Amino acid sequence: MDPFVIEATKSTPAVRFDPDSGNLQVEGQSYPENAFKFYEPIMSWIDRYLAELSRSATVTFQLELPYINTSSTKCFVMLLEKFEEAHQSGKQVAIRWICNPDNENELECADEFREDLTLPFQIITKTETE
Amino acid sequence: MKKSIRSPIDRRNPLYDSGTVKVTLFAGLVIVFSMLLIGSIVYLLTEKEAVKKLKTKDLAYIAQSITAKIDGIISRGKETSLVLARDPEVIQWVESGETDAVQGRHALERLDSLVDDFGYSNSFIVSSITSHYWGEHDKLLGTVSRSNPNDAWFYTMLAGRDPVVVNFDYNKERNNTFVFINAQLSGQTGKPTAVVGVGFSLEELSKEFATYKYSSDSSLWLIDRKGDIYLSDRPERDGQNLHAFLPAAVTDQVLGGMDKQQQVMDFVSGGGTRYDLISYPIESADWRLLVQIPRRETTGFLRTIKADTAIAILISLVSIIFLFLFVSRRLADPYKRALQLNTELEKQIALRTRELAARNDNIMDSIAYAKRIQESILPEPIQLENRFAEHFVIWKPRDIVGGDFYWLRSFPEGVMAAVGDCTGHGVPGAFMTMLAISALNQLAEERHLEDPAALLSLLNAEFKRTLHQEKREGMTDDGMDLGLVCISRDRVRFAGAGSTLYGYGGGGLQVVKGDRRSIGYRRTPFDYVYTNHELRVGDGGADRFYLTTDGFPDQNGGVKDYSFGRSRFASIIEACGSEPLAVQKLQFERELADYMGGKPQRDDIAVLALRLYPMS
Repeated sequence: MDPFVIEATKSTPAVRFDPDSGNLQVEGQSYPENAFKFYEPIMSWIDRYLAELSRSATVTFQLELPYINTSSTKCFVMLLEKFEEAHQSGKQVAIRWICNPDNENELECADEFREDLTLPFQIITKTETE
Repeated sequence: MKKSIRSPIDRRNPLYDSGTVKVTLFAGLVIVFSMLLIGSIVYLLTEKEAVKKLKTKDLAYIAQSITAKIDGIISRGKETSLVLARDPEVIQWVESGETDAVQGRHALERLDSLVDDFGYSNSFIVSSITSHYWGEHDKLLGTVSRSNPNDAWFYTMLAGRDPVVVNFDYNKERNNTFVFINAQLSGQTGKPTAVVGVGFSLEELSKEFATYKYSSDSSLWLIDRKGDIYLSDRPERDGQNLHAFLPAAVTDQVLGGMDKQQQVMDFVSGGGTRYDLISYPIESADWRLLVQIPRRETTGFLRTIKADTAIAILISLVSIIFLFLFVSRRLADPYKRALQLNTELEKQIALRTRELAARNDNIMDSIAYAKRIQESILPEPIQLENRFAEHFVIWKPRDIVGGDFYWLRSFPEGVMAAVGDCTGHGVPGAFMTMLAISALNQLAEERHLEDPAALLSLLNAEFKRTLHQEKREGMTDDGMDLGLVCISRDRVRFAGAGSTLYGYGGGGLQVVKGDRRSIGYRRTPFDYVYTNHELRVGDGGADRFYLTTDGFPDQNGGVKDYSFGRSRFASIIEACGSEPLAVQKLQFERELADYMGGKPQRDDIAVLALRLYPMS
């Protein structure tokens, strides 16, 4: 599969999916007017990727989302459910959610997602570098 | 009046470009300069060549031709004289002392024949024996004597060593130069006994000079060693000296070079005219031929070339200017074409902008009307005032209409209040609020004052049915967050779907989180059961309640552009919860505005705050 890359905009996050290393990243704020339009191609890529994924490969879905609006949240729910299904079918997938300690919404959001899932879900609090 | 500043491009006519005019002028000047330069060089080279040709070829040719002519005439005269001198009959007649009448007849006939048949002016026999001077036509012109100085030539000739001598004689009266060719007549003794010869005028030659003349202002002269003019193309100059016509220095140079083969020089006359002059020797006569030609006549043909060149330059210049203008206007000016295109595009953009503005006005009118409808379904202030001791509402759709709403339903035994956040903003969000409020109004009829959670469950089922979202998979997934508080005579109950209730009273701040499952979304099961939360009221309990959508706490801002945050929201209540709600409203608004700075509103905002009348 080809890598999947979308540059960040003011209202959409940067997407960097590297199928070979299994390193999939989404980073940035997400509040597009039409979230389904933005996430539809991402979801279909993930569908195909997870379907082809071998049991020996390990995949990390890394998220850093300072703000996501309600409709984007719905899309992430769908995305994470896809990983949950892959996990339940025995594939080695994990979530790594990076939070900024100053931004309480991020942590709340990550916590809420983790509660619904059984796959490995790591919440990492970024240490301040400033 | 102040002069307006003009842009470098005249907007009224973008095709006018002063640059093109400048370039055209400059190119024209360059071309004119080049043509003048080339023309001048060619002119100078041609002039130089023409003068060179005149000096080395033309002048020499004229001089040689005339010289050959004169030489020919004189040689012929010499031959004729010698033939006469060697005629046996003439010799015998002279030696015999002119005694034989037959011989005398023959001899005198010979003299006649020379004049009549051969074109000489004179022919003569002068005898030293008889001293008779015989001329043509049997005339005995006289006798010579040693005592007569006019006859000195005869005795000199007789005594001389040369058998033939040429004499020139300028005759003032006849204004003509005569040539006399004398030959010695010698008998058996070998001693000259007579001088015979012919004479002729150079008048004929003078006429011929005219044919050799280069131009009307050129001159030809035959001069001797002293500079006396024997013959010229103009008879009036004959007999004068060269000094009369040439500057002294030039005359000296000519006379000083009498023995040279050929002399070529140029000089400027007193009148300022430049002349070329050749001096050419005429060997048969110890003369020199001078040919003088004004320089301007040599190079006269160049004046025509000069005029032609000037006309050519003018024509070229005009053609080039027209060509440049044509090329720059029609063909090769991308800048001008770009301007033209830009003007067209600007026109089109202006048209599209007007069209879009018109459409936008329509859409905005439509949305403005939608806002009136949305506002009309929200509770009226009087309803809130009637049921609560104090209250405030912050309702700020991000766009003109939005997905956030608040709701109120009164019953004799109590009141239900809710704040909801439907998916989407703007018109789609507003659509959803209509659905939500309509459903709430219907379901509230069944009086769930005691059990707000049941109302949420019914609302969830109703939403899923209405939006066809019973199944987990589907194209749409819309719903809402809702916080519902039911206030009856003695108790306050809360149920939330993705919503939190903040209570404030004697015991400080109480935060009551509702269930996380929102209403209507596919992930929320059809029969999902929400939880009721009962809050302590009355003494030491809360009497102020706050419901908010996520718009307020999620608003970005601050130094790092993070969300406002729920803790900060709660801390405002903690800080000023005991103040009148009107004051608190101002505090909420101020804090949010400060946090946002200049950032735009990210989501719809709805906050409802209520203060209960004291419980009975």
